[in-house]
Amino acid sequence: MQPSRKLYDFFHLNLMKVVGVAMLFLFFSAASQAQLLTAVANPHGAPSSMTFSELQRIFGADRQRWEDGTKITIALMKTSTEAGAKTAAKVYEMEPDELYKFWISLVFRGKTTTPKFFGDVDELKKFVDKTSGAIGIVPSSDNDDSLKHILIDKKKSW
Amino acid sequence: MVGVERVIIKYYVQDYLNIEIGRHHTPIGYWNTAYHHGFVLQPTISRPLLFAFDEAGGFLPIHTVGLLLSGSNITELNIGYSFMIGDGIGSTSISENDNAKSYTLRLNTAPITGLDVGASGYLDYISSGVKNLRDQPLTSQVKQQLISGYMVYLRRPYELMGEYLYGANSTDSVGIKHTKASYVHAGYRFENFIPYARYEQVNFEDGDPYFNPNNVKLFLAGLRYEFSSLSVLKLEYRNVKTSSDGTRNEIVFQFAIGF
Repeated sequence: MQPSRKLYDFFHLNLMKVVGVAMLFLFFSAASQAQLLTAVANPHGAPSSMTFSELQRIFGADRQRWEDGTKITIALMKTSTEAGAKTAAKVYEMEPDELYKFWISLVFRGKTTTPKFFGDVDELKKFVDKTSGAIGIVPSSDNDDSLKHILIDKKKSW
Repeated sequence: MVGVERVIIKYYVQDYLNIEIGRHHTPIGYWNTAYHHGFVLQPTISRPLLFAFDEAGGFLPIHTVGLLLSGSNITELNIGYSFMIGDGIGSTSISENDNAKSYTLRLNTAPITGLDVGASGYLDYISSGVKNLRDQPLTSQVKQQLISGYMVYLRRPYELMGEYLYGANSTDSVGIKHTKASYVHAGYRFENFIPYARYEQVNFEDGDPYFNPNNVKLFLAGLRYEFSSLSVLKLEYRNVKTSSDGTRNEIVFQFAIGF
């Protein structure tokens, strides 16, 4: 076999391997991105980063005010949506119906007011944008730079 | 006719300090403030005997009118507290019968998801002339002290609850009379079906100046089916033993909805 032919086969084979691995990486990257969530907030109130346990306390209504005194307003996707169901599982560690009962119980005890639930991501983002102190959770794949992102454990998507 | 169960004005200062005035559920134990009157929220058809309402033979001060200071989310252990100064037993929702106040303090911690552990204490001086739970006017002032503890674990699929209360009613003439009450509840979720059981007992000491000394032991076993978060069907078998009426067996069902 000619040396040039051997060289061609070598590069061709390895290039195909690299391309294959890269395609697999991109595929799983996109797939996992669709399941990731991002916390977004109104410019007034929320910090630019927090820990995941702090996020859980805020969304569990254990905290009612930001450091500057602005009231925390929670915005969630309805649990009938994929993002809402993911939020219930990840943040609240609950099933979707369990999450509704959790909020009903808190309101019934007079601890807090109900969060705002949305069926559409754009509606949630509009609400967070215009409501001082609001914080919401959206799918990472639907997020853009129009809202303030909050890093959770130093990650934009989680 | 309308009966007011709760009316509250609340001012939020910080997570660790809320100020409320009005008619509250007295912060004794867990069940009384966790479920209030919410049949769709509570895991069984009826409240434990320990927290039964007055009209159902209850003996604790379930409601109190007064000032409540409370806080939560304190430290990483998620400590909470409630401190209440109220009008006390003998007063009504709109009038106070004497200058004596009742004092209630509850401390709790929720260190991990689903777990809540707490203790509470209550002190009141019930004036002479107030009717006791046997509907007889007291001939002298009664000092009532209640101490309770609880541990609750509510995280799917488990429902585990237990509370214990010790009470002491005392007068100069009869001395101290003791009361002990408790319940334990266990349930396990299979999808929308939750079988559960509860055992509870209340033991009064003879001669108690305020309580009606009708000792009770109750065992119940039930099945709960949740159609949704706001509609639930419960079916229970109960074995009830009382010192006044002996033993009876009951089958009870309840359909509760919320809107």
